[in-house]
Amino acid sequence: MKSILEIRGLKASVEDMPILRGIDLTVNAGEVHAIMGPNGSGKSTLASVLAGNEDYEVDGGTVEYLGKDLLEMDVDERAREGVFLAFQYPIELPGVSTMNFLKQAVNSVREHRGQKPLGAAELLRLAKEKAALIELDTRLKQRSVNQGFSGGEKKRNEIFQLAMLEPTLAILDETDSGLDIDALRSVANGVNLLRTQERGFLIITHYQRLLNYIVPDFVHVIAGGRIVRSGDKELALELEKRGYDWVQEELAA
Amino acid sequence: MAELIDHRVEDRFLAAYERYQSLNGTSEPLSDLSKKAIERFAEIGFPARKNESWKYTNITPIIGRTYQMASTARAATKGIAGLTTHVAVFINGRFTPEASQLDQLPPGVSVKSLSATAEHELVQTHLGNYADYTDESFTALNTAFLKDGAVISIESGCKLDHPVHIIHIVANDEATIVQPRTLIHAADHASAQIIQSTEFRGSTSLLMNAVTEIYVGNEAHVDFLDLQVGTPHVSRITNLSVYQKSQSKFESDVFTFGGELTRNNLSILADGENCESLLHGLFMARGNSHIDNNTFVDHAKPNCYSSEYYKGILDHQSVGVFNGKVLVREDAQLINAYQTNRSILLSDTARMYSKPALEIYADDVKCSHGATTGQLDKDGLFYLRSRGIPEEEARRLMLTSFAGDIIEKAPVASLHELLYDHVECMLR
Repeated sequence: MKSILEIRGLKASVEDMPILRGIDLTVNAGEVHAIMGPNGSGKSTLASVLAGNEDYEVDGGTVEYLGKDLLEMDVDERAREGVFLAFQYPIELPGVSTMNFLKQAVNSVREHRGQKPLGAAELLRLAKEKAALIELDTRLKQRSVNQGFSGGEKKRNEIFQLAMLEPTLAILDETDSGLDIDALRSVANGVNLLRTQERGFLIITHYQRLLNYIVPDFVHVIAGGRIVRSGDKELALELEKRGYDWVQEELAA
Repeated sequence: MAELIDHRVEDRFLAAYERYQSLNGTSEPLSDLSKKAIERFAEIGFPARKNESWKYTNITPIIGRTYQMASTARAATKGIAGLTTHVAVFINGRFTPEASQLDQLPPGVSVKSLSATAEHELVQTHLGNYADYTDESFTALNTAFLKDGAVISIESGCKLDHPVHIIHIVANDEATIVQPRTLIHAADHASAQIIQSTEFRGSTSLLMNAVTEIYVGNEAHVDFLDLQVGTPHVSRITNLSVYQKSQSKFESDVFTFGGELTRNNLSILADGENCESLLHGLFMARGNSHIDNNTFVDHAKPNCYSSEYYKGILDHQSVGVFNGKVLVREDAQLINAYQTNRSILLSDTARMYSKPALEIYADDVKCSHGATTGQLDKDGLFYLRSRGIPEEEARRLMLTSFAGDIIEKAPVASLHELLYDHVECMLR
């Protein structure tokens, strides 16, 4: 099986406060990994560090992405290489037209892959097709990026961009937070349609709920900046039943 | 000491006036106005920094230079590609029919030279009536040296099919002062779009001191777009004075890109009920550029609406100023007046002074003002980059969108692409 991501002993801090204290994780092509954990355990930090957010300082460890040193790459370079982060809080960009944004993003990535840039008509066709996948209201494309979108629309828009950019590694940072049950179902449905043999997913979530719809191959629990337990989807169900105190207590024991 | 130097500067302009009069003479019908203006200038002089509305703009360096008065010159222009307009060309402030294209003007619309129409009733009634030479030094100077300019008249009920484009060509080979003058008269129910731009052909320092007066009749509609693309040796003082009658609509769009020092004075007197006044501006500066937008909206009658929206992008050591004042007089009830100024600073050394102000004497009005100055949104930049867009392009995309907000409001849609090109150019 082809490995996409190899994280070894990753340590990271924010404003001199250590958050990640040694993460080890391997994601292979075609796998869906769920990362669960209590608030403040370091789940979202892991997502931010992998995406290249400069607010976080990497203090140690290595991250190999398709055999390359991911930590050496700039944010935009990582994205062009096929790493995608669906934001927990997508940013509103007043005045930046969604179609213009998509065109630049898609063509930056395509150019990097040695593909021909898409013209306006081709892009529109592709956008229509992908929007249908996650039941995104196509009228949103007329607006500025994320501006005035509801919480659910923003999250759908993230998955829509995922579909447009066709990454190799997709990281979903608490995509389920703030979603009602219908939105959750359609977002999950979209993600399931995007699961392929070549693509790996890292799904960060606080609740097991999302994993009823996107069934993971592996579940990892982060606590105190480390992965303290790994298992299959049953682990998530157990967590739901017994709460996070259970793993933390067990760890302390 | 400073006082002494100031006086000398003004004396030089007064002496220049005497020489100018003995050499050229101002044509008879304009000489009264010209004389009154120079007398007033002698009294008020140039504005001092103490003057609140000139607090952040120091004009000493630009008025302290020795300038020649612009002389006649020959030049031609291609205008703006892809834009269908009636073109009126002024070279060094003088109307040049042979370089203009005005043969397709619709009936009821005329574009003439001021020197040829000085005796006409329209000029006699309106010229100098709206641009205040009694209180504004630069308007007084422009009026004192009045010789030629443009007179655009749109008769009652007439509509311009395409915009009139006033192109000023300034060709100078030594330091020069040029003082264009424009009078636009839109009679009742008339409608017109006017574009004004300047082509600088010289490479030595230039001071342009332009005055434009616009009369907007009852239920008339005028859009005035001023496109200013400067170089580091060009300084500009523009004075745009607008008078609106009832149920009229006026829109001003001022685009200022670069230049040494720019001061845009815009004043609107809404002297009738149900007027609509829109004031839009975009300014972009870098290097040592200084751009000052000074606006004044005077609501004299009830039931009017005014909305002002200015945006700026400043880089390097450049300075931006926004001084916006809205006055609502005592009897002007039910006024809706809005003012917004947003600016982005791209460097640690660029500065922006923003001072929106409301002065309200009526009690039943809806007015608001706001100003923000900040850096490019870091989170937004990260978001764009996280989608594969390189940093430089992401910055450009955000800044172009920021500026595009004003461009999209500009009424002549066929100009938008050119405006975006200028924005791109300033960001390169």
